[in-house]
Amino acid sequence: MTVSQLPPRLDTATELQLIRWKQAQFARISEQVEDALPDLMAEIERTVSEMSSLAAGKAQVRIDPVWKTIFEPWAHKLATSVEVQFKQEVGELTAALTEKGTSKDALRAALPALATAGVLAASLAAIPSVLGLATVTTTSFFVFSSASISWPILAAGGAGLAVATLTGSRVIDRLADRNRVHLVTRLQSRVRTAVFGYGLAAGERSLVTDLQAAALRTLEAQLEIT
Amino acid sequence: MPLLYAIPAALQALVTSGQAQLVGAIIKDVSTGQILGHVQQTRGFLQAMAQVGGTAAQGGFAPLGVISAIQNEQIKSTLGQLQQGMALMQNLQFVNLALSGIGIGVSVAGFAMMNMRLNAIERHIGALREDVREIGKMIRETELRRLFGDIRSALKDLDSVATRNDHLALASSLQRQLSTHVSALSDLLREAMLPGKAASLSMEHLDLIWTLSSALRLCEDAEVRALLVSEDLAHARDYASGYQVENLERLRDLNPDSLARLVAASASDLTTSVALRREAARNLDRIADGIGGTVESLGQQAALAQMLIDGGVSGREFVHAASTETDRPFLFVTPGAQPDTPAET
Repeated sequence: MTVSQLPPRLDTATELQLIRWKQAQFARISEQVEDALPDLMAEIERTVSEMSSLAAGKAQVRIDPVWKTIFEPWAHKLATSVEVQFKQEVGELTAALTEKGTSKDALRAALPALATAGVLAASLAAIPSVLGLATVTTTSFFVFSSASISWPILAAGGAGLAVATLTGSRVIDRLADRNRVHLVTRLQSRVRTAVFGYGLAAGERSLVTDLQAAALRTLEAQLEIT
Repeated sequence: MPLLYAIPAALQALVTSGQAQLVGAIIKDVSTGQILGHVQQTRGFLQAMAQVGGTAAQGGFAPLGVISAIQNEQIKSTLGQLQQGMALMQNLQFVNLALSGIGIGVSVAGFAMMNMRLNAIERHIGALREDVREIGKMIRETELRRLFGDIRSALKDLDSVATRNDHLALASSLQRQLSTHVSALSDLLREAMLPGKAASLSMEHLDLIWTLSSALRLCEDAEVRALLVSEDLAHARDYASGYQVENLERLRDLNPDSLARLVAASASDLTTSVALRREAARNLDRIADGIGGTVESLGQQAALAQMLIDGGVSGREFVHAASTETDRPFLFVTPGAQPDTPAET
């Protein structure tokens, strides 16, 4: 590439604006996920309370199927609502920058640096960069499969009963046998790891990092198609 | 050739009416975005800050909540007494004032002010838990205190260098010392900002990040000032630009949300972790704002150094003039055509 072909460089003020926008989006996604947590906790309690004793016993041995049944619909519903929000944010950002006279070429050139989010590397790698993504698919199509989690030993530990307080539900009080209580505890403990990555080292995938990576991919796609 | 003037009354009127705005150290026409001039802080401004903002740094040092809304009002009120201050500062954010200073032109804070900030920063090191004080395996508290001692010594000399006969040699030596300190602090900050494989962080760790970034900004500002006094204006411009780029990269590498979730991970239940994450996110937002402010300030210092070069102005005289002005909180640096008759306030 000759010098004359180099894309225009973003001015520092715009680059600052982009970085702070990204940071604000990431924080907003975490907050949106936190706000949806009580629904997930309540769903875990409801599902377990409706299981037969036999099914609850089997789930203790093989917890993944019941986890998947509860977690993935909730995650997809959440991802869809997060996606609606961040598509709107991306649209507003690109409109504001265009109005300010920032060229799309300069924005595209700045994107790789913006996406250099070390702790998102795993999630970014898992979410393909798709031309036209913003128009043809939804985040929930590709975001997060619970099979991608590496469950740490500690995630199955003692946070479960405290987790239950988040729901404010009394369903758990009606769970007659210890088996069901233990199952609820295990499932709710998993939420910490699967949703926020608690117990994992920074850089490992969680639902939040996948949603954040998807936000960056949406921005990329928006810049490619406009 | 003089470059510093009282702020023209017409320009102040534009700021007061909202037609012009102070963005960092630059006064811009709101509708056209045209740069109308640069503003340089003076000792008068710093004295006003010391009356109000300084007390926040002296009193206990709560680094992440140092300037409350009430204190902001106090600062505005104090500046209002200095006439032109209020009009210029009405749109400015004061978040980073007590520890980072406000990046209005080249820092001209005297040793007393800089030492107060440094003391506040250093005092906080003692308040951090032992495991936080040991930043990774790189440095221990005693070494950090030695580093702060060296910084203090350099800042003390910097205070008087503009009036010394041997200012060229001394300023040059100070610049090299400060450059070393910048480098050391930069390494420590990088270590503190990248948690590696840690699965959780304490809230105090965020205080440590703030502490190191505040000390780093103090040293970067001081180094640019030393270069101006040593009349090495081109290097002052280049160093300011270089540090601006480094701070921009630092901000780009900072992932506040990830750090906030690591703080939340230390809680044993989700209700607490939600509250912790939100508190940590607010604190990290302030840290990011502080680094963003540093980026803007250093860019303006680079532009100012270039203007001094273009105007054929002595860096030492410029710093000396701003450092000794006590009646007016700000002086005006005009980029091109200079006013025939500078307005007095």
